[in-house]
Amino acid sequence: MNREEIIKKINTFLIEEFEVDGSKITPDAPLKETLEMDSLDFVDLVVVIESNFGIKVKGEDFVGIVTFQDFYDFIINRVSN
Amino acid sequence: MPSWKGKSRGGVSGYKFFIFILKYCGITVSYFFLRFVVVYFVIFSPKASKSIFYYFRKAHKYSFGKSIVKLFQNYYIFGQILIDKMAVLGGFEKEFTYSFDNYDELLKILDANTGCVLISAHIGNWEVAGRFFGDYGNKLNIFMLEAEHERIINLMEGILGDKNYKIIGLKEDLSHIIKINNALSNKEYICFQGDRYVNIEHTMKAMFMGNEVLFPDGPFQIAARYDVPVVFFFAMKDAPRNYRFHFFPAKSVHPENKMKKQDKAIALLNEYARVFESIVRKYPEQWFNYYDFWENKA
Repeated sequence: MNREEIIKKINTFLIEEFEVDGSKITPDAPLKETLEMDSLDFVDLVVVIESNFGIKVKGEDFVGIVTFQDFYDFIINRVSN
Repeated sequence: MPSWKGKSRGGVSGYKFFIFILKYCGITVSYFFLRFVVVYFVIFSPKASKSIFYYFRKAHKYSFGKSIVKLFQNYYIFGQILIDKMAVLGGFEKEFTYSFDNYDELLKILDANTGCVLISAHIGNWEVAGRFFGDYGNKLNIFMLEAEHERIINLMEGILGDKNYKIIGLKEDLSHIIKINNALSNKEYICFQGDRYVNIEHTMKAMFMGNEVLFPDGPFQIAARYDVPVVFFFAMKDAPRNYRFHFFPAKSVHPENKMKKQDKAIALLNEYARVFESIVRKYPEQWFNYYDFWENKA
């Protein structure tokens, strides 16, 4: 999967899982606020990351993730590794 | 709205006193000293006493006199259970006998190596169960509210040695979510208490003892998000030196039965409330929920 395909896949599952308007998902938009995430949504996010990309996340992985771009970079990084 | 504040009764000095008595005089003498402590708590913990009195009076519909007697019994059994816990952790487990309901069904689930969510309550002595999971205990993770006892846990571990299970504490930074996810991904077991909440925004309604009341949504919502079996379990003191472990594999959901997350969570909560009510009715003095649970009618 190339970068664009990964971003497309991420946006698709975020729209499906969080029922968010796709137009609100832009690279600079804040992830948590846009998705209106609470702790249970965080569980959903962790589960979909694992099921879609086979990535196991750690607590510290989310420390620097503020925007969608940060989130894309994190997934792309982990997938390519 | 009232909610549980995350702190359990009983200070470190009280624990130290009973650990000393237990070590040098044994369980029976410890139970004797407990009688004085019970009177103290009934008088000097008015809020907790009122909540438990209300529980007997309104939920069980006991008379005024019977509710007073049950209030004392509730504190006394709670004290006995704390002493038993210290005794079991301290190596006195042979002083007790143990019996099991549906143990084979539980073992079948644990041996399937899929991971599992266990949901218990602040009833009976769920902590002694950890001791009897044997090798399975290495895969057992108990979810706890962080304020619940850090000092007491440290004291117990310092004096009585390590437990064979791991503890996942609720954290502001949500790191507990990652730990829960990773434990279930590693086919481990997570144990929650399903009867106490700290944030009213994270609650769900269910019928319980004839009232529509609020339960924490976390255990049921998390269980609904993973395709793993769910088991309700309760470790009850059914004789002075016997504990009976009741295991109820959840029937309302099944990993192969695809349901919407919210429907699954509601089905699990309703089944839990039914099973929990049957246990509460069988062992009315052993529910230790010392806050205004019944005030939180939905």
